Amino acid sequence: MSQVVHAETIVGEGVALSGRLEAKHNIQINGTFVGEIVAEGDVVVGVEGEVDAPIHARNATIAGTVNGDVNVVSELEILSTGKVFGNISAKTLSIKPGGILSGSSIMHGKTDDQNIVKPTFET
Amino acid sequence: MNTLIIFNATAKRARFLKNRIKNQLRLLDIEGRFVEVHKKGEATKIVSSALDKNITSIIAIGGDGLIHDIVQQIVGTHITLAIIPIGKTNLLAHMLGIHDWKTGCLTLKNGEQAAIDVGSIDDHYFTSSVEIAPKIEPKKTLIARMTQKEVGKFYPGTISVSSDQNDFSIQTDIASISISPHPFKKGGISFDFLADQLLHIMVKSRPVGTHKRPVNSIIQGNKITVDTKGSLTIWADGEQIGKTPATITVIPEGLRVVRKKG
Repeated sequence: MSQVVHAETIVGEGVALSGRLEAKHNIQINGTFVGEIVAEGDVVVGVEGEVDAPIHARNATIAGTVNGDVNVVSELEILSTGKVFGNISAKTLSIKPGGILSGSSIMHGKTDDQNIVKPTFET
Repeated sequence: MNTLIIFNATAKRARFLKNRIKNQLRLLDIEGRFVEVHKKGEATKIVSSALDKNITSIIAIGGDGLIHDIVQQIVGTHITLAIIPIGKTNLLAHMLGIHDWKTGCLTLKNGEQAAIDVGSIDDHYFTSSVEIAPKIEPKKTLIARMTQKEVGKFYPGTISVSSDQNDFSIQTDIASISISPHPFKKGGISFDFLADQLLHIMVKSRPVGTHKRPVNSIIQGNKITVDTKGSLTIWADGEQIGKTPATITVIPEGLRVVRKKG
C-alpha cells in the first residue's frame, strides 16, 4: 500500500467505478471510470486508467485514456502514453512525444484570439 | 464532575496494574465510582444504567474491547471518554496520543477534550475500523490485519458510496474491505484527522495483469453500502457483528474524548 499522508482517492487497476466523484483532495484513476470527476486537488489518470468522463481539477496528468473534456485551473500534462479525446482548457499544456490530444484547447490568461487552438494530433 | 471509572479485570495487565493505577488516580485527586467488569458486554450494561445518573465522564481502564463496549452507549451524548490503556490492543488510545497507562493517568489532568468521528453499522458503533472479508479470524490489531497474508479468494461485489457531493458505485472482485472514520496511511490509520466527517474505505481487489498482490483502492464518503455475491463476514473494531450486505455511515464528531495535548 502506498503511503497516504493526506486523504486521497485511488481507484485501483481493474476496478470499475461509475458515478460522480467530487473531492477536495487528489484523485488517481488506475482502473476505469464513467461519470464525472471534480477535484479541488490534482487528477492523475494512470497508464492503465480509462476515463469516460469530463474532468475538472487543479492540475491533471494523463498517462492513460480520457474520453471527455478536461478543464484544469493550472497545468495539464499528457504523457507519452496519454490520450485525450475531448476539449481541454488549462493555463499551461504539455504533451510529451507519443501523447495524443484530439480536440480543441483553450489556454487561460491569453487574449481571445490566442485562446482557440486548432485540434492537435501528436504521435 | 461525576465520573464513572470502569476497570477491565480481564485485561492483559489488569492484575499487575490495578493497585498502581488506583494509587496514581489518588495522587492526581481523580475521584469517581470504581467498577470492575469481568466479561464482555458487562461494561455496556453498566454504562447504560449509569446514563440517567448524570455522569459526565467515563475513565476506561482496559483495551479496545472495553472501549468498544462503552462506546456503544455514549456516542452522541455529552459524556467524555478518557482511556488508561492496559489491554492487548489499544488502538483508540494510541490515536489519542496515549501510549501507556502512565500517560493515560496524566492525560486525565493535563489532556484536552476533542470530538472524533465514529462509524455506525446496523446500530453498532466503531471507532477504528470495520473489516469485511471471508470468514477467517482476522489478526487482532488493525496493522496486523491490514498486512496479513491474503486468502486468495475474491467475491464479486458492489460498493455504493454517497456523500454531499459524491454518488458513485464500484464493481470489483473483492478480497477484503476496510472502512475507518480516519484516513489510511502506510501500516495503519492516520492519527492526524480525528474529525474530517468522512469514512475512508480501502478495497483490496483481484490483481490484474502481472500483479500478484491484490490491488488497493482508496475512496471516501459519508455513507457506504456493500453488497457481495456470497456473504462476507463483518468485524467492527475486531468484534464479529454480521454479514454483508451492510450499510455504514459516519457520525461526525460523535464521540467526546480526552486526548494528550500537543
